[in-house]
Amino acid sequence: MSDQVPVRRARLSEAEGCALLKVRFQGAGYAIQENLRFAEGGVEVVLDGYDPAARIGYEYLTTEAGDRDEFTPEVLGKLEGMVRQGEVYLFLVDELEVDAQGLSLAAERFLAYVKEVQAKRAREDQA
Amino acid sequence: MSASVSEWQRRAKHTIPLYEEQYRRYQLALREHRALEESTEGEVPAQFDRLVSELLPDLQPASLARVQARTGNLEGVDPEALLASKRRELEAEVAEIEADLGCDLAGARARLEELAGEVEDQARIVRPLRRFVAQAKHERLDHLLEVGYGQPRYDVPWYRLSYYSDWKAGDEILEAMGEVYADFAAFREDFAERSNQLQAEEPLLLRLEAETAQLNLSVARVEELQGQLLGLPEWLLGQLQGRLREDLSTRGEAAFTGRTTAKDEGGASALAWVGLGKRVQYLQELRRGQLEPFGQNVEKTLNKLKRKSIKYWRPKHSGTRFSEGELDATFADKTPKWDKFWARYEAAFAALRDFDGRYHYGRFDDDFLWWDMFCDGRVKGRFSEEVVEFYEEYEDYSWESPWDDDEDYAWEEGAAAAAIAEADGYDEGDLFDGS
Repeated sequence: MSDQVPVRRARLSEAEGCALLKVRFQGAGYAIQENLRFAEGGVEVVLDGYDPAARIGYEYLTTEAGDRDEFTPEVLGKLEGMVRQGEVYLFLVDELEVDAQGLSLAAERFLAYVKEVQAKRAREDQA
Repeated sequence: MSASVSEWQRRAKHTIPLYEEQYRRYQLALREHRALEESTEGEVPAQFDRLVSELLPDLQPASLARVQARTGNLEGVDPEALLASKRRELEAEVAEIEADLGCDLAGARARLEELAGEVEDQARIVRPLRRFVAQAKHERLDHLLEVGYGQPRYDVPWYRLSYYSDWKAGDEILEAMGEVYADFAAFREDFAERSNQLQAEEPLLLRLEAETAQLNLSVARVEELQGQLLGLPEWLLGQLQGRLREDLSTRGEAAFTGRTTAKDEGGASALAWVGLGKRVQYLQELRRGQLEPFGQNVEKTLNKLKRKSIKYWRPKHSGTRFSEGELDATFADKTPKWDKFWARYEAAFAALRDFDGRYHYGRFDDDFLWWDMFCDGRVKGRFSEEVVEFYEEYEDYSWESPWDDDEDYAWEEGAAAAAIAEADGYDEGDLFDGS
């Protein structure tokens, strides 16, 4: 009998997805707090997972958690603007058809990219 | 005077084994009865085949005349006219198919050969394209093509999950293609080219395959029709034999009544077929009307006695008293009645079991009783409704053995009579009431 736990290929629920993202972000060294209030730049929302010190987190953009009203196109636009400016790093889960392997790989790539961007910014700041 | 429970139990102890013995005897008899019934039934279809083949072995006028004379069936049938009509019908269908094809069977076969080559040539072009498209198949491929993945217009931002899902899907597709493309853009270009080529080439292959399938159907049908044309006489014989079968199955004995005797060609076979049917019928009537009701009755009484015996062993019934009348009614000696039943049943069954197949002594006449032929007039077959009705209709009837004057049969008769007498235990000349 194999010691390996079989990979689950089924679609993840939002709760399962959040749990997996928390593990991945914590593994990358972030102190993720769940359902944390975020109020900046005219935006006031509760994020699924967020490290206020490192300014990094994740958010499920689905109706499952009942937060669709909160993330209006206007709010989302402001948040994305902040991400593009490098003021905050938010991983936005915009589709539900994802399994554990897919979400895990996506999170890994996102975190790697953030580190790359942060390093680049640090070099630019020093220069 | 009344009797105690112990008296009741004493008499039950004597009576129950008698019923058990009767029930065992019944089960043995039923097994033998069913075996004979089934084997006789099994002979009927083969005999029916023999009868039809003897009555109508071919389409010769003499054969048709025989069927008409023996059964009244197939009157006015003209084989030549039927064959000509069927031939015209088949030839018309062949002509219609050939007109649709625009050629005859040889031409159609030649076209099929041509088509096989064209299909192969086109398949050589289409097959690798299909393989390529199948290899690239991915649940997200259409989406990637739509959002412009791998192209400058692709604008999904890096912080969204869909960006990474696209990335993963793109990698998976390139891997499935054998890592032959530098990037997704290169794959995309090749995929578009080959997909367009497939779209252009595949319809021709599908059309050629459809034409081949249609032509194959037409060729097969023409070949079938030509085969039918060659076998028309056999076909017509089969059709007429089928009509004869249907008619005989429906009318049975009545088909021959007043028309056929054992001396006529096919007459002996007809008598054997009807006789076998009669034998099955009498066996069924004897079982359903006599043997099974007897067995059920014995079983019912036996179970009742056993239940009561258990009940009266219980202390709370120890004081029960029974009148002499009750005891006599419950434990009356049934042996004479049972013996009478078995004598009657076994005489009737033995007649059917030991009948040696001389059906050709039968007759297709209203005043002929098949039952009497089976038992040589020695057992009254009142278990059969048909026999009872016959006795009522022909009050002055008496059985005369048809084989009495048959010298060829003389020695057989002696042997059969001896066998029946031995099996049934009745004296020669006695008339046994088998009702």
